[in-house]
Amino acid sequence: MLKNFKILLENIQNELYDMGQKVVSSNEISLEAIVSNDKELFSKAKNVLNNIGTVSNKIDNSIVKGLALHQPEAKDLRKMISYLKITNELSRAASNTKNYIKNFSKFIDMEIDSKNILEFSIPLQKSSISAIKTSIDMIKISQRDTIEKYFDKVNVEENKTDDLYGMIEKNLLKVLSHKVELSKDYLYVLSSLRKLEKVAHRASSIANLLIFAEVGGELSS
Amino acid sequence: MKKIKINVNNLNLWYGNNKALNDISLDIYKNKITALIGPSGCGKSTFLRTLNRMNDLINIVKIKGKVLVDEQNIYDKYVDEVSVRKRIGMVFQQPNPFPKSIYENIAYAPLKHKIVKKGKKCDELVEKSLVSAGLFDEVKDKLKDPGTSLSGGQQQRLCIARTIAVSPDVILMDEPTSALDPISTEKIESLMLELKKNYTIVIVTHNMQQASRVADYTAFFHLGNLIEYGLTSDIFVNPKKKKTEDYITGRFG
Repeated sequence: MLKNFKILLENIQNELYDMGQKVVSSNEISLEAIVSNDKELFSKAKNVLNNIGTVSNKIDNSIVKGLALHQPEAKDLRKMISYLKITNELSRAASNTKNYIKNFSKFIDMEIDSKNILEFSIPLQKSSISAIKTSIDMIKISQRDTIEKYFDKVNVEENKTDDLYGMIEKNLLKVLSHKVELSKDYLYVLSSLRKLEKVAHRASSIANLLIFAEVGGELSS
Repeated sequence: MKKIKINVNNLNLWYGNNKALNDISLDIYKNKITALIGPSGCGKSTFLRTLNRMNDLINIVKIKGKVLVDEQNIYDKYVDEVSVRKRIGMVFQQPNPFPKSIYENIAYAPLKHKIVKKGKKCDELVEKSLVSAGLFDEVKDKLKDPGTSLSGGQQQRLCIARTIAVSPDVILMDEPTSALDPISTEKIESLMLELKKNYTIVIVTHNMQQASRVADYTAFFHLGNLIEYGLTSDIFVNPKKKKTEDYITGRFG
């Protein structure tokens, strides 16, 4: 591999990792905001994601340049294609996170049973963060065994978010039958928590792409 | 900041009555690799040879225009072409070591030009040149062996070491890897990326992947005209001219 391509690939990998860290950090801050009941932290969490679109475009353009100039093959090609798709997944995860922050920050002021919701929403968010954090850590791992271990962990966390979301949904629907007047608020909360589940789903896609990059095979959604 | 090493100004060249280069103007930047691409007969090798007056060796050639190297026109009457070729070295398509030892291949020109005298200084220069060409480790124990005993890729690196030995400012390369296998090609390409730190490199290549991999700037020639010149990333990702796009995507040529 020529040195200039190696440097380009490393730069893309680092930029992608940094982009992923922004998504992780934003989610971590928003969790802190909920746990500490500090509304200020929600705007801090949102600010972390400022310019994420610009970062994504920069990485995509570097990838296009790399493909055009170096015509990578085999693992190098798989990495470039995976990275191109991962920027898209991260942009969508960032968008899900922003929506979650925007909607869930209003939850603090609502007159609904917060204890009942937080009992499961906090574990849901922790699992979602764990999934996205693990998938981002995979970017910098090159040992196949370790990548596969991380991949399994992402999938476990993603499944946990599915289950936890299901439990929240079930609980809230029960509550709703007694408090119909608050149905709008409850559905609003439910919709925002769904975004966390989506973040975990993006993490699973990222992990799949990184497995494709490392191991090969065919791209699958 | 990029610095202009060679400024080519309205350069025209004729072989007898046939015009081979038509009003070529471009700047070649210092410590950068510039690739010249284009179909056979487009004038890229002819253009390369104008940069160190190699075309002067052909009787029927007539040249009009300027080639300024560090702001000095190498075609000025008082400029000696041998001194031009010392400053602007050249590596050819086929490795062409002298029928001499590896050591003598490197030492020949520096001794001839009186850059060094025989002895320790000359030994040091030979070693330094071979190290720069990435060949020293492979030949350090057989410096007295003939240069022709080396593999094709090693011979080409020997020729590069020979060029470096006279401390040129610019290295011209005319399809330097077309006779080499992929491994030797990658070694030469890696070497070019190292050498550009100290030298300005201009390369003619038919291999567009090679141009895209190593060159900072690319010039596309067609029928003696410079069609497009710019950053390699622009030429290969967003070419401005349709002819350039057609050529690099293999639609003609």
